[in-house]
Amino acid sequence: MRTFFMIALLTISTAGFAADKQMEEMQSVIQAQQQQIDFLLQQLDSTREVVLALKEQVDANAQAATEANEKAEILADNMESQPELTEADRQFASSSRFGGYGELHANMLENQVTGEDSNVLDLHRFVLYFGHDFNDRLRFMSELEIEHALAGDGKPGEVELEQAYIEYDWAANQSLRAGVFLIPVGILNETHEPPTFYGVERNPVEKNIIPTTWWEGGLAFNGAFADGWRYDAAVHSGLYTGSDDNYAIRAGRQKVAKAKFDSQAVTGRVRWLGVPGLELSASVQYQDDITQETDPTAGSAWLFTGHVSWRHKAFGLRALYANWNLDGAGPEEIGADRQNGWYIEPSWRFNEKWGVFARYNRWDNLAGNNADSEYSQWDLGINYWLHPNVVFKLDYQDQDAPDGMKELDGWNLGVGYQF
Amino acid sequence: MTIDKAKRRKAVARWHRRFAIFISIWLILLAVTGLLINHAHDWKLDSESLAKPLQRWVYGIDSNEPDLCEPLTREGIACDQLFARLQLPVGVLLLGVRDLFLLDDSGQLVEKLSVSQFGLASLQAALGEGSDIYLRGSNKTVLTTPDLMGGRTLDSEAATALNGRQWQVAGIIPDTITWERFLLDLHAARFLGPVAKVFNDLMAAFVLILAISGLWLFRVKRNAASRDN
Amino acid sequence: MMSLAAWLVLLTSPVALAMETIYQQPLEFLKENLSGCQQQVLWLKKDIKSQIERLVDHPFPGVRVRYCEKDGKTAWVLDEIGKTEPITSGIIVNQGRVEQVRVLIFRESRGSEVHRGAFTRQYQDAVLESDHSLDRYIDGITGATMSVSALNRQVKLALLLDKVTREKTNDH
Repeated sequence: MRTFFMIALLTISTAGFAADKQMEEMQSVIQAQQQQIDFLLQQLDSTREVVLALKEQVDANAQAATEANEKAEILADNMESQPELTEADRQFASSSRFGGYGELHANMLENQVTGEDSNVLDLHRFVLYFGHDFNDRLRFMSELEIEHALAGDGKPGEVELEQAYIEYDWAANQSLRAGVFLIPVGILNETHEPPTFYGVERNPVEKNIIPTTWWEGGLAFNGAFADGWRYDAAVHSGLYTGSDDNYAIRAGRQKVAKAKFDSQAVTGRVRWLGVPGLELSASVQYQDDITQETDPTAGSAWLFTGHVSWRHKAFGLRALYANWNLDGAGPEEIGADRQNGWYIEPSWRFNEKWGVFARYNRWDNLAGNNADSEYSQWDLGINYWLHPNVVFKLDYQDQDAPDGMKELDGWNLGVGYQF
Repeated sequence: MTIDKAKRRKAVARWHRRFAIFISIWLILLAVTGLLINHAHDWKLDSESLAKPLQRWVYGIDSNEPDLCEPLTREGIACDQLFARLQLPVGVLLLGVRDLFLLDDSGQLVEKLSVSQFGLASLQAALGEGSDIYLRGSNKTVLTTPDLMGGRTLDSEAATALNGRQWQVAGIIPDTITWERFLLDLHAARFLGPVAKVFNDLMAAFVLILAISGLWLFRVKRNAASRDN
Repeated sequence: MMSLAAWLVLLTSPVALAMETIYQQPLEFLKENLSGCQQQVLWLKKDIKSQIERLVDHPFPGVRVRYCEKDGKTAWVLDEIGKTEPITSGIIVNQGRVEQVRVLIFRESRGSEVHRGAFTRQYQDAVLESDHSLDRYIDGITGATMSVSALNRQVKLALLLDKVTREKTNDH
């Protein structure tokens, strides 16, 4: 029994010993395997990293390739489709430029005094601008106009050179003009292209009092000063009116056509443009003899005019006042020693295409005496801009004239363009 | 004054007057050209080239203007401001006084860039050396890359160090003479050829004679005046 | 006679006569308003380029535009012709909204009133509508119509280009 037990114990212990050894061996194998696994895992990690990096690089290369492709495509595309040069682009490439404006009017009016109808269709103006830039500072600008389509003896029209001057920028924001230019007065005198104002015809106040369109020949300085201020100072040929015309200012425009130069005039203007959309302006003019030394009973003349032009979003407002003081017994006798007028014009621009306006005008070319010689007029109308440079206009006018004078009420229709 | 002295004074005065008249024209030319040369840089005479017919007549040089315009007229861009063309590692750079035009190898316009982006009011000269592009304005020099990305203003030392290189200058078409050169040649009477040296020496001598005789006459006159009183 | 010749040369030389007012150098504008921004380049695909040309109403030279970018804001220095000379303006756009407009260089004798803060302030927070117009009416200045027009085009262009760059970053 003891032997069996001993043998069993021995076997077990040997086995145990063997098992221990086996365990040990197994443990070391397991450990080794674990190490291998760890190592392989590590390798796997780094391989994964490498793969990721490679993937990124592939992505980046792909992106670069797409970008390069895009660039090549863009360049190729651009080569194929050279943009068509418009006239304006070619003009920017050249230094001569031209432009123009024009307006066709239909005036369907009735004289309230006599009941007579006055229906007229008239190509009121056809204008061409020609200009040339000699260099960055020196340029030439001109404006040639045909009024009422047909000019000549006995014909209703006129061919006029309204502007022809050399302009030199002698300093930043300072210029000098020599030649024939528009007098710096009023709202419409310098800017009267059809799409820029309301009403088929130009307002009667500026027409009869300023008198628009008014140009003379001479020398003009203009420029900017302070913050948002602009000035103009000009010395130029003067008006030539006389008793035959009741010393009316508009009749005195010589248009620089062999103009009598015995008496010259000086004009000055200041404007404030400090607030966007707002223009405040005042002009003064003095001429020492408005009859060009042909009438001893008349002499010097002073013009004062001021205006407000405001456009804020849809709302627009224009208001102008102009007054002439004429010296001498001649004008004083008939009341032409004071000629003045004013108007106010609110407007509403619904959108790019539609706008409406109303205007109240008063003017008098014989305001110096108490006789009834004052005109007044209401205008109401609408502008339709087919394009920013093309406009259709419709308005109704209600005039109040002094006794015995033509009083024209009725409709006006017009189309105008500029470029 | 003794008779001899008076005769001597009259003779000196006579010769003084003759010399004066003789060299007056040359003296005027000298003064005028000298004045212009003195202000050559202010009045841009050192960058304006002589009118072609004048250049041909005076110097016998006929310059060939390379046609830089073609790639731009295709895009409708005026090229009156162009004055140089730099070959880049990739593409071409056309330089104008106000704008730079980057073209690719096929001559197509890639980008138009105003020189104001580099802080220059106008471009007066350009230099291309490998992948360094130098742009020079009226008072500074900028270094940029062929891609025109970024620009570094050089300090005055670095800028002056580049003065001797082959700059392409605005207003000067290669093989042309500037007004300054022409004025300098006039000033030094170089158009007289080999005689110029002798002529200049002679004129210098006459001026000296004029000055000395003038001073002598002045002294004599003063002494006579003080003696008379 | 030589002096007269020199004076005539001066008068007619294009090199000598750049007439401009520099309100701020483009590099200073970028440093002041978006300092540390990264210079980038935007390549213009055909459809983008035709959108641009329709917006500015004239051919657009070249096929790429450069700008500066930082923190999602883009800065553009653009040239646009007023009447006859280009106006250089700097525009900062923040996620499709105008943050800053500045006239940097003005080269004409008329219309410089557009450089004043009173005018450029009108563009503050402007965005581009779907038809590529601005979301507001900009009050003009008498005698400066073309300069005002040029500024409008520049602001709209900056907004459009900013939109394109943001769409591109979103693609990647």
